Amino acid sequence: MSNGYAVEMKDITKKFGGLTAVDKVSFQVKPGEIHALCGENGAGKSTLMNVLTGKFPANSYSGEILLNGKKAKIGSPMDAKRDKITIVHQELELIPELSIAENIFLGNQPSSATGIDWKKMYAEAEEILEKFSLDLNVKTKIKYLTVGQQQLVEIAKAIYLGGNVLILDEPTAPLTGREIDFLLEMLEKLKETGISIVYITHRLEEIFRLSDRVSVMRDGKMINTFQTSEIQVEELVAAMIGRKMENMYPHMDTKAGDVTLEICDYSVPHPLYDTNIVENASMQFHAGEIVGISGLLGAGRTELMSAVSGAYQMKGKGIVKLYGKEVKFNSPAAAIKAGIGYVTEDRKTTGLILNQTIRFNISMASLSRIIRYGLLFPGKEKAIVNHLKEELRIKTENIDNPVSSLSGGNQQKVVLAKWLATQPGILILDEPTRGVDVGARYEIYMIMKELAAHGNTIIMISSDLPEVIGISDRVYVMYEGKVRGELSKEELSEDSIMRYATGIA
Amino acid sequence: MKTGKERLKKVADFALSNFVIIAFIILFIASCFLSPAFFTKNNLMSVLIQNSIYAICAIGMLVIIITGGIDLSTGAYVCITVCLTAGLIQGGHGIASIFIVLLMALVIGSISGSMVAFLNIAPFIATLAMTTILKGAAYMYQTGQNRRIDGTFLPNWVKGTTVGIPNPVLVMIIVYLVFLFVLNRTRFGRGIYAIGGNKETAYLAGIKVKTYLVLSYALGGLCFAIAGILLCGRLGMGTATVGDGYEMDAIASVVIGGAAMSGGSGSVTKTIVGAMLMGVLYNIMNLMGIASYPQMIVKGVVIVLAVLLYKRK
Repeated sequence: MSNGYAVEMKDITKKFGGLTAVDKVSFQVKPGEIHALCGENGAGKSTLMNVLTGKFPANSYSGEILLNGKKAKIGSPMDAKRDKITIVHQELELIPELSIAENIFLGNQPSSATGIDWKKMYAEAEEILEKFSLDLNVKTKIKYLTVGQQQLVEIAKAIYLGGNVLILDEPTAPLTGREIDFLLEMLEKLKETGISIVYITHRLEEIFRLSDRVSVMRDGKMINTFQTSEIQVEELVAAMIGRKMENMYPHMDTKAGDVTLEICDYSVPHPLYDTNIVENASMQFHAGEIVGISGLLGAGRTELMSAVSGAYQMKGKGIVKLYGKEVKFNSPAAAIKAGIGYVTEDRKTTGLILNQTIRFNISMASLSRIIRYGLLFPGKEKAIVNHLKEELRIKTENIDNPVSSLSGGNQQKVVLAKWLATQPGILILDEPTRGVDVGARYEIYMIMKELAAHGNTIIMISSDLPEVIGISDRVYVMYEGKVRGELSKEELSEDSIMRYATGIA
Repeated sequence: MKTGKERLKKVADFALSNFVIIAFIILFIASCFLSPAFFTKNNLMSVLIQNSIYAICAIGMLVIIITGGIDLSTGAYVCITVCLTAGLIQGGHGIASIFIVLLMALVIGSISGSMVAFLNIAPFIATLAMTTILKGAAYMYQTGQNRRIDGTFLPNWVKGTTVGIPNPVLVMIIVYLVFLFVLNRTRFGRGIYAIGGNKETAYLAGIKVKTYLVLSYALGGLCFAIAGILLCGRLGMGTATVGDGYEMDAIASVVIGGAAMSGGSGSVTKTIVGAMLMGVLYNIMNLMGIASYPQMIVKGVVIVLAVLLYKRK
């Protein structure tokens, strides 16, 4: 007897120790539906999906799961595989040292009499990539792909493995505009084949563009499920954060002061090839200003700013002036000393030390403030860290908790706190809100605005166009290593940015 | 309000993260019952003196393991310092011999560290190479020489006590206190935990990764040399046949003390207790008349058990 749902989860409760991560949640997905699942970080979305994909033993959670109306016992990834439920995680699970083809067919290699049938494997892999219009050599090792390309390979793999239910956890986080369009089109096509898709995302525009229905979770509970066509953005955001959000982007009057950082004719050589990854870039930044640097992935934004601040593997050529004086930073340590902070793009690999405490992470870059005569003063350290914890509203009882116990948004705040602790005059933020929920996002924007209001120079590299438009006072747009345009606040629009970012203008 | 369950979990967490200390206490009490010879001043003193040398090696190893590295040349350091110390004392250099040997260890450690930091050679390989270099040098220096130094200041001092504490134990306590301080209260200490946790993040946060790597291998070498000098004093002679397997005992103590081989964690206190736990275990087995081959098996089992318990945390 079928009730018309491909998946029905009933009264699911999952606890971790004393913490209830998912509280009596019911969730249904229809066949051939794209069902968006949203909520702030730590709302329980991932845990709910982990239950469905067999991450937890069957006796460690309560409630029941019905697949096509039939009761199913899911307590291991093998169970999920049997029932054709596939998940693409936020953290990529590809093996960097293996080729694209080997990754797609991992554990499923076509075999011949003498072992793996390489010819067949490569041919089939090519076919899969072609379906995705991915112009890549299937023998390329994963480590040579961009994060966006890796993500698409991962999704291609999941679709190839086939399934009745496909779960995507923040699939567009590392993708660029073009890749996102492409993925969303793929998913729409896929839906027509009758597959159910659960789509976890923070990006509201994607929810409205793609989904049929949207479910909102908050604090481990299911708040509501809406028909996407019948709901307004404000309503959805209110459901997610539990209060009404007046504005996605804070407004604060700031005034641009003197030039603080100036980059003239700056080029950065490519680490592998004999070309420049950034070419003759010139930019000017003022005190009290938030300057956005926009462009597609691979436009050279990160390379430019990290080379300027001494963090890139290659040394840049050109002139950098700090407060009117020519400077050259050979290491991040030198840049920090001069008052430049760099919040890197990927908090897990370059922003945090995950096995350490919140306190350790926050004070890491500003040890000189707590060291006198070579001796570290924990009292002073605690005072500074606690002050930042309050100011940034990092949600934790104790600064000596491991940083890994925090949600994504709070982890990002820890990274931010680490750089604020260095009291930088110039703060560079690379994709500061990637994978961060709406509420924490607003708080991060507030901090940026306040810093600017106090006369600091804020430089934000971002691929999120609404964000660039929402909080920048001025924007530089890069395309293929060159600065293509400079837009004032009045000129800012998705259209004007994209024209420069794609090299049309 | 805390529920009973939460409190229980806290206790369990505490027990697991301090399990080496609890295990040591249990073993110690059990040993008192297992053999009447155990809880005597003579026996306990000899256990302490014997194991102070191992414990000092373990501290040196810990510093390097925290950075995510390893030093396989511990035994070779001990070997060459035993030979050199005796040789230099015979040559009439007196107290200066000690400082020359310590300086040499710092230089050797810096070379190993530089291979790791600047030449990007895997620590396992760099220190494996250093092992055979040091061993070879020790044999070349030692062959055909009689290096007895009985009656000189070093053996006399090592056998002596200061305010009732045997001098080797005193040295161990000083080394322990110095490193307790260095690891927890200095920029270098914070730095190496950061490097072991995530090298890239550490570098971007302005930590001098390469300098600290070189320094940690140098400090490790210094500890191994201190252990070697003490051993030389105990033996009263120089010989190239000592030191084998010291690196394994040091690694075992660090692991039993709860450090991760991948780096970024570890405590000096627990490492010392780890070393003493192994020492007491050997001692009680000896007292109970258990032969040395079964002892080796017990040692292996203890290492595995320790790692399993830490994993549950």
